[in-house]
Amino acid sequence: MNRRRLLNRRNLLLAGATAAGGLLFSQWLRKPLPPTYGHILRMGDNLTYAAHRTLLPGQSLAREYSPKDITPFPAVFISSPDDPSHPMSSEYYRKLQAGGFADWRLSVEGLVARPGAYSLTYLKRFPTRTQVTRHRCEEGWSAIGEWTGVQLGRVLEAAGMLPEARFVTLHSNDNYVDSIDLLDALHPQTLLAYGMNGRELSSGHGAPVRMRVTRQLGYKSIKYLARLSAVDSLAGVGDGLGSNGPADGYSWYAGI
Amino acid sequence: MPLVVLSGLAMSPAITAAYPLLGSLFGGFQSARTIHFFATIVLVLFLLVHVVMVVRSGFLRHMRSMTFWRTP
Repeated sequence: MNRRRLLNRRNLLLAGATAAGGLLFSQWLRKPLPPTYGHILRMGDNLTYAAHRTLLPGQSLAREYSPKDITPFPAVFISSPDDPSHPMSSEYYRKLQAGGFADWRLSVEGLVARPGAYSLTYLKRFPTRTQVTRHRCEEGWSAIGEWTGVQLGRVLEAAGMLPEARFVTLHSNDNYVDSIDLLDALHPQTLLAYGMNGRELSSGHGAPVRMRVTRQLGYKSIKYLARLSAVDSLAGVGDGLGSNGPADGYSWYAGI
Repeated sequence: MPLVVLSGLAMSPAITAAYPLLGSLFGGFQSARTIHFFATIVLVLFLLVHVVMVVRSGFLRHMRSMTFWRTP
């Protein structure tokens, strides 16, 4: 009996995989990708990023919880705040803290029509957003907190971000740098948070202002924010890797 | 296998934002992590047992039939 058919199961699978791959790849070519860092395993990070950005609906919201779901929230990386290299122990930070962060400024620069330095009081004049969301750490723990702040998108809008911008870089006061793409930067749940659980953000959690990048792992939500910049490429950012994370093995894109 | 894949996807903040059902299916992030962990162990044990079976039932013969020799 002749069992040859036009389309057997193997051909169907092969055709399906090729079509899906082709579709993904064509999308991939049209979008700016974060830099690859010459490491064969790390190339998978870009595949994940391209797949997420191509296949997932753009601005879906992460789950928000009710205030009674709030859990204890560890303030990590402050085990030794006396360590001179820690952002909390610098002379600069101590002075800011002593002055109630009145002298703190968030510098907004790069591809914006109106670069500027925003004070905490100025940021608080923007419409606020409060959200109870889960922070998921790369290490495996997670915690739920209530965050109050201004949407990053509103600040970028006020600064007049130019159409050439593709990424937003985020710098902490100890010169840690990270960056996110515009889809995450303009996401309604991406906040410059100055309040946590109904209070001012504490020093351990990154006072006066920290990021909340809700749809990525916790390490993208950097603390002690000092500066942000709209850029069209990540070439000069974080040794060309877009962030200080990848050098330590943390993926640039942490939507996972 | 589908359990490993699905519980893995249920740990992703970006994917559960898009498909919240996936997160609730496993009872949240931490439960998904636990299920993922145990499902991975089962998968590894499955692999080990089957490799042992291949070795015990004639390693060379299986290698030959898998590659370019005809089965004797």
